[in-house]
Amino acid sequence: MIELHHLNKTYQVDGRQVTALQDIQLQIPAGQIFGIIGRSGAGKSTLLRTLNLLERPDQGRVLIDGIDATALDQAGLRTLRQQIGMVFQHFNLLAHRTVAANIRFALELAGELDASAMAARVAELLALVGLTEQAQQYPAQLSGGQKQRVGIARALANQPKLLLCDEATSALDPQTTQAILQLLLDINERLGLTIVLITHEMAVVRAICDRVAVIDGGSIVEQGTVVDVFLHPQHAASRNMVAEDGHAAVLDLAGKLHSVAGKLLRLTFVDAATYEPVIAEVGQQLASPINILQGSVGRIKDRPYGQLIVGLQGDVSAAQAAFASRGVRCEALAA
Amino acid sequence: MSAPLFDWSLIDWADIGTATLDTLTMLGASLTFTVLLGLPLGVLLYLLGPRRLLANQPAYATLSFVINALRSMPFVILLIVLIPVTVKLVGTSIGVAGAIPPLVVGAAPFFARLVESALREVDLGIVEATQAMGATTWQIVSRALLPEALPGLLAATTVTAVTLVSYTAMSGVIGGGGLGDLAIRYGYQRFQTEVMVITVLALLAVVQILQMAGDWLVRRATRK
Repeated sequence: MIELHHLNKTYQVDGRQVTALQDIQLQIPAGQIFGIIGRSGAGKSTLLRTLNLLERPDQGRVLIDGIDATALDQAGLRTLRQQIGMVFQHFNLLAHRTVAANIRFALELAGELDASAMAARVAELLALVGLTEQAQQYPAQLSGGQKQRVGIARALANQPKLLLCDEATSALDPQTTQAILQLLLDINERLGLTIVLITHEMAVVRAICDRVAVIDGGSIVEQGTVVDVFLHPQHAASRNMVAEDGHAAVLDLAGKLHSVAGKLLRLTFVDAATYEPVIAEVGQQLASPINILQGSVGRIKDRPYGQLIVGLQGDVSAAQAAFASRGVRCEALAA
Repeated sequence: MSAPLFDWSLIDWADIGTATLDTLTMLGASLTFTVLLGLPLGVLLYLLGPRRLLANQPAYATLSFVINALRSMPFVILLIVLIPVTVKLVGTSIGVAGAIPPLVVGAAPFFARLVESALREVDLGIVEATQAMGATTWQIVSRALLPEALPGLLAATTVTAVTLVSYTAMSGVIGGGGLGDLAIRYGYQRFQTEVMVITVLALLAVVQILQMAGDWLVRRATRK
């Protein structure tokens, strides 16, 4: 469990004060995959780095399993960092070391295992990330996805309780991104470790996160389960991010829908409701056709969802009651 | 028949041999101490630099100034200014031994600058990743920065070695001996062009061998 209390951080840039973090309050439950999403410059990178004190906040406390990281001395901080793995956008592997030696590097720095124990652990990690064949190659010989696998193996070497991912898939192509996300999900489930990731892509959050916080201008403007934030974003910054992702039914047809007769409704289905023929049933019940105008169906992590914008001629409150009784959230939209 | 351009019989090959050995001795000794002194200095310069691990603007500015001051001093002047120090260190201010301290003082600041720029070539992300793994500053320097910068450091050492070869030529001023000294005394002051030609060729061979050896080491160390 990670708790951030009233974190503030400002930078001095060319004599001007720039606020990087403003009164950040965050609780990250153990064992979850927690996403922090924001645009570049929103402060997400600084925020992630406060968790292992690569960035020291000006004010506030960083509690990791109840220990205040900001109060640790140098030795204590090093021990803490050895229990926190970190994965980077540009991998940050040592070019002069082989794949195996890069993974061993984390073990050497910790200095807790002897040579044969290190070799065994490295072999285990290579198998975990599927790079046993590449053990003796140098990073320059690997593809981007393979480099990130080395980065992940290295981050897991000292059996951390927490893994920090700094835009871990942003430098990778879509296919490799999916494979790396799958690996992270797999690690989360198999090892039960907490993952905190920052990203500017809603797709990453949608694919693997349990909870998400939206950061904008150095402040957390919204947080909650991914299902809630993704399907019902409250803050303008979150709505924009969801809209750009193009997978949720946000009303971006403004001005084009005035020709549609009737009222606009947004229907949101999650879990069981997605498997029922709800639209047809409600249409029959109300004896009024339902016109599907825009929508998407898919999965948020492992939860199926659907979100539709429909046109309805007839009684809106009756429709809302009919949808609600079938477990579908129905909102009337101002057309 | 006109007289041959060069009369090689005038050359005292034993002298050439001794001079070559003197040059190599001065080079070997001064390069060793230059690296021993310049490497830590260069690492310190890097660490104190802006946004680095031990960033400290006043300390960086001071160290930087001292290095610039030493580098701007012409080597011939350094040779003479340092005589009292040289006597203290090696007991004499002349000969091969007397040449070594000024050579080191002349080359170490130069080498330190090259070390600083070789370290700056290392991606800051690697420093950050190593820090995130819980490394001490010493571990970051010794386990990540220096090994990652090795090709650059070897190239810096090669450039410094070649520079030292030309510095040794000037050590003739204090009776330092070596090939350069021989070239000036015989070739220039006694008009024995043959000696000058041979010494210049010998110097060229030394420089060429140093550069080739350096390039080979750099290639071997490069993993990019």
